Amino acid sequence: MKRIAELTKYGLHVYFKGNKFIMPLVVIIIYQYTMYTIMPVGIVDSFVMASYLVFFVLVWTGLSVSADENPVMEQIQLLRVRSSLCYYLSRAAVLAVLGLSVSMICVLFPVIQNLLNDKALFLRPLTAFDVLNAFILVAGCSFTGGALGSLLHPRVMEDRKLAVVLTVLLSVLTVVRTGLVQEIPFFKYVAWILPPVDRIAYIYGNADRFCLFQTGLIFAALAAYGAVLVIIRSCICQKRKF
Amino acid sequence: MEIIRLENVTKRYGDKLVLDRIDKVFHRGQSVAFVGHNGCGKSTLLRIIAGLTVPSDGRAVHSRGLLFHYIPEKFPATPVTARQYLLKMGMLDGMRKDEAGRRAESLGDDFFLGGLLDVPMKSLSKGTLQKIGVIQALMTRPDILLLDEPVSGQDKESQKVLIEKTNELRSEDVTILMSCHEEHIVNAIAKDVYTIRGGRLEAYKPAGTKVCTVILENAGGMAPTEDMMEYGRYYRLKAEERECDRILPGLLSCGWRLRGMYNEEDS
Repeated sequence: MKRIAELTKYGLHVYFKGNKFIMPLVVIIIYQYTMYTIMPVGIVDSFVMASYLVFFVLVWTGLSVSADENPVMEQIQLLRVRSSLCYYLSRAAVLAVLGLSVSMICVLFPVIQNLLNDKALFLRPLTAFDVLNAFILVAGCSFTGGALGSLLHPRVMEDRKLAVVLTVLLSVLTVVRTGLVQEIPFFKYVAWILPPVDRIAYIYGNADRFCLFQTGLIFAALAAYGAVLVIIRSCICQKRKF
Repeated sequence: MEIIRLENVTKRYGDKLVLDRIDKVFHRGQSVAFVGHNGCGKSTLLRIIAGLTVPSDGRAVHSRGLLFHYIPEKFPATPVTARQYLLKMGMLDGMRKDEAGRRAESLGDDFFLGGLLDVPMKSLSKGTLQKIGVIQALMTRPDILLLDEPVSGQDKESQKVLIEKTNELRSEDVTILMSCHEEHIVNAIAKDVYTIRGGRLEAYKPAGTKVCTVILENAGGMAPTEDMMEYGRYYRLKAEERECDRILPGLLSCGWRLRGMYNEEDS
């Protein structure tokens, strides 16, 4: 556990010492500022949109974190920790921590903005229940996004151009899955392999209030899909090695 | 004590057969070098031994829980400083932060890094980066030290420190496995030397006879022989290795003093 924590801290340290975090952060800030400076906004729909944004931002982050991994550094760390499981868990933990940080920003910013505007930012009073549901949804999307972004790791797919194109394609298909199934019914036979990010809009598209049970179900599905993607990537990397 | 066993290890890259059915056992405290031309499979063999590359056929069997430390041929730059990197690697090895800090500082001094430990690694020169690559592997005592062309780009003084540190580890029963082109490094570190020919591992036999340069001081006013050339305030003599063994005792007994001797290939 200590070694996973050390590796995770090192991974985060390297990420924040580089410049790859700047653009995703700028996108999040611009979105937050644009979304929450026009009053009033709906609570549920603004957080549903934030979930989608966080999903895409974490796909981007996952892709850049994976692309930045140097095989020699990976080899040195893998040998040091003497456990592939520790190593690959730490890589997933780096993205999970980044995802949680982004989720925190995306949930806390509107809360603070609401307080600064005499609690008049939203169409109805914001409750702790709303904030909890929003955080669970955004965090679920962040984990799945990070896992999808890092799926086509350089050791899984050496052709980086193709990896980027496929990752973008998969992430777009993920969010338009339901619409696509309605247009092309046959697509439902393969659509199940994509994470259920679009279920958030399907369930909360016209809702005014969150339902913790539904939120929990979506989170569980997103976490399970994310975990499967992490396991697939780790198994391929472990099998192919260097 | 046997710690690694290669069983029928074969490696192909596409149609190219790099390693062909290699069977070999490595023991604790053994010091082995693999020499040979570029692309003959030395680095691949090291990586297969460490479990970093999957053989096309056969397997590498390890004792349980072995700690490998690896000095790569090209140590890559990262945005963190060398000190931050070494601290983290030390802590991954189980060192406390202060302990890792002291070790990094001490090794930094040994390898003449001075203030460079606090410079981001992406701003360091190739040779300095390679030194960081060496230091990270020396932070703690591993069971097996893998060196893949460890001295590339390093100055001579640092090469000497590397030789000294590696031999210290060897005396502590660490197994040393090295891929190297520099014969003086191989001679100074490895007891067993192998080469890979046609994918097969063979004991290395150096071709031809080595020529040595002997530096002598004329202490008793003797006349130099015709083979000797003036070399500052000394005389220089070039002779084959075996010839040196024969003529040196005679020269020393006549009053000549030995002031230096080195292999021509290493100079």
